[in-house]
Amino acid sequence: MTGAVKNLARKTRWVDTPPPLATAFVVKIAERCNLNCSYCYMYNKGDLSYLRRPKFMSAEVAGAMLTRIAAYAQRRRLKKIALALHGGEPLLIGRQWVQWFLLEAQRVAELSGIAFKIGIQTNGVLLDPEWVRLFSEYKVGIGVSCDGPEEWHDLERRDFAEHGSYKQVKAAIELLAASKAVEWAVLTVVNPQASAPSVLKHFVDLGVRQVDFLWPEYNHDSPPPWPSGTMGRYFCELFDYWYSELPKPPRIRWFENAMLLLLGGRSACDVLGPNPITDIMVESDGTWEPLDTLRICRNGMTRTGLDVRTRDVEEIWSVPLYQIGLRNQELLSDTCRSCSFGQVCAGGYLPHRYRHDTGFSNPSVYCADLLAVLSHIHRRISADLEPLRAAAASVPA
Amino acid sequence: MADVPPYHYSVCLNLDCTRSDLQPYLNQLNPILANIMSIIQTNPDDSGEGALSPNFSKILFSKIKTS
Repeated sequence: MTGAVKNLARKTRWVDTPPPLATAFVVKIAERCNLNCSYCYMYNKGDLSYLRRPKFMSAEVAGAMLTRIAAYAQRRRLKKIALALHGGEPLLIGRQWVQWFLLEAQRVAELSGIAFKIGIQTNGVLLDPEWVRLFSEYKVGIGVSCDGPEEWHDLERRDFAEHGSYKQVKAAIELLAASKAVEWAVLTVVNPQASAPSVLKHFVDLGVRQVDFLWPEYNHDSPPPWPSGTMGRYFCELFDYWYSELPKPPRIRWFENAMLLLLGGRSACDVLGPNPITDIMVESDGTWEPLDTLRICRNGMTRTGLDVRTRDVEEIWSVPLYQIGLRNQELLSDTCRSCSFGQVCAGGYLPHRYRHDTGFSNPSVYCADLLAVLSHIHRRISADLEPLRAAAASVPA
Repeated sequence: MADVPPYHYSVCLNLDCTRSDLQPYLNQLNPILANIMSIIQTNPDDSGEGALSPNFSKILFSKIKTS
């Protein structure tokens, strides 16, 4: 940890005034996967914590977690908590366990008066009509990971025998598109060597109505393999196609949040904008941890040892790495502080700012790309709003 | 990069015009942009899902009379 981070941790005391409160928990119910994606931040970016953890979360841990979260929500007067079932591949834990969990969550919700909004993030390989029925019954939102057309998806998203998973994932998406009973979306990790319009068109053709394009997890110690600017070009092309070319464009969270910020609004995600990072992870062994993608920065970096069976949610407030997430804007580099897009990009996603010697006080490793795409979106929407502005100006006072 | 938000909308901020004056222009906006603006307009104080700044609705819409 750098001196600045140590100082920040030392001076932070949340005794009288609580920090921004977590309303979302990412629950690692399975810490193994049936795919071996090369870019996976859980298994293939240097963190080996998963080797010390159980493959699956026990019912004991899950029950204790639900009770602790409900008690925390009551203490902090929060009415609604989001729980994202995550992995690894969460469906590996089996339908019986998931059904038990959903029932238990329902029971705890009724007892506590706290509403749990539950979602699940799956690679789609095991998703079948029975799973969809279960998720529909309990109103569980589903996220499916897919990287676009087969040739791009199967480049990275393969099993341990090197077989691509595209065909199974496509079937899962078609199943969801045919079902009107569940809320679902697609997550895609960008490969900027692909054609952005062809990736988006592929999703549109599959009936996807909501998709998030994720920037691959790199930082200054482990920079992206593409020349600077490559991602920026990809996102500019993607934006133009999405914004202008499609008769019924799907929702794209990254662009929507970028536009909100550019229009003076506030982002609803942690990858853009000056938000504190409040989300809390629950590992399969029952430990509360900070943002899981931070594990790309150093092996074991996110470990806390705080067990849900004995520790309240609030105890994570004293974990230095969690405090860094909460107060990440205080660690912005001078470059970001003086940047015109400082309040929009806000340094970019926290893990992308990391360097072993300067910690998180760096611009994003994607700085040039972020500037390119945000400037581009700003130009496009400014031009579109000009008639409105001119009309407003011409109205007599 | 001097003209960056949130100052972008400052022209609209202090104009005393009605929403109906601008409606034809609002109707012609790119639908994605119009949708983002309507989200902001309808959820100015939502601090949860889809959290949005109250400032923006003030900037563009609250200052435009709805009569």
